[in-house]
Amino acid sequence: MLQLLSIIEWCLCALFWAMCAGSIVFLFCVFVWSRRRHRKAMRRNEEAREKSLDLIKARLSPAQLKQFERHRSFKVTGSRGGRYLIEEGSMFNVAALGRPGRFCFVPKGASAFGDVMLAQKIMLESDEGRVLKIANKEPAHRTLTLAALREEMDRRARFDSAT
Amino acid sequence: MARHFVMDHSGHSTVEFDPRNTVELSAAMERFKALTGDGFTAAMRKEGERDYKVTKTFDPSADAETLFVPAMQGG
Repeated sequence: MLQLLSIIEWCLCALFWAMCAGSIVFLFCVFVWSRRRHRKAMRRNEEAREKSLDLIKARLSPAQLKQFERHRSFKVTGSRGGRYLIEEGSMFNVAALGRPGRFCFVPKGASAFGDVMLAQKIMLESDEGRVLKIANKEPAHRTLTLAALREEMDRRARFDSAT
Repeated sequence: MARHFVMDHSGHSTVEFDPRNTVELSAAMERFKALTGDGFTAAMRKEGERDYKVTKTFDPSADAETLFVPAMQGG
């Protein structure tokens, strides 16, 4: 009887350690898999970013390209004559020149910021009215203090006169 | 060779086609119809032109470059 109990005890103990080892192996595999997935996603994002930058650089005017390479932003004149500064990024990155406020409009499904900026440029140049209707507007008074607003407007004016 | 650039999550995909090849031309025409039907805006420019013009009709010119921009939405 005692012998049987010790065998059962030994089996339970072995089962416990086997489960522990299995869990560790399982967690390690999950860790390796998620790390690989993350790396793959990062690589894909980086490739998309590079591709989108190549696309936009080949489609900017020489003056815009110069501005983009120096300041990571460039000026665009809309089809109705409005002037805008498209800055690097994809959220509220379109600033009106000569007046406060920012706009946010992005192409559905395109996430690489070079593509977003190129789409914003093309849409402003070809159909400014429609795109401004779609855009979310950020009124300057909602997000900025008066001092910050003045500074922001000065920065835009400086960019406008320097380029 | 005419070119179609389609903006997507991977940056963009490029398709080149020869407008003299009827099979490639009809595939390009189908692609144009399908994408514009899905809400993409087709912006086109010809060789030597700087600016894109938004178009609703397919242009089979050999030197045309069409960029398909997904529908815009407020961000």
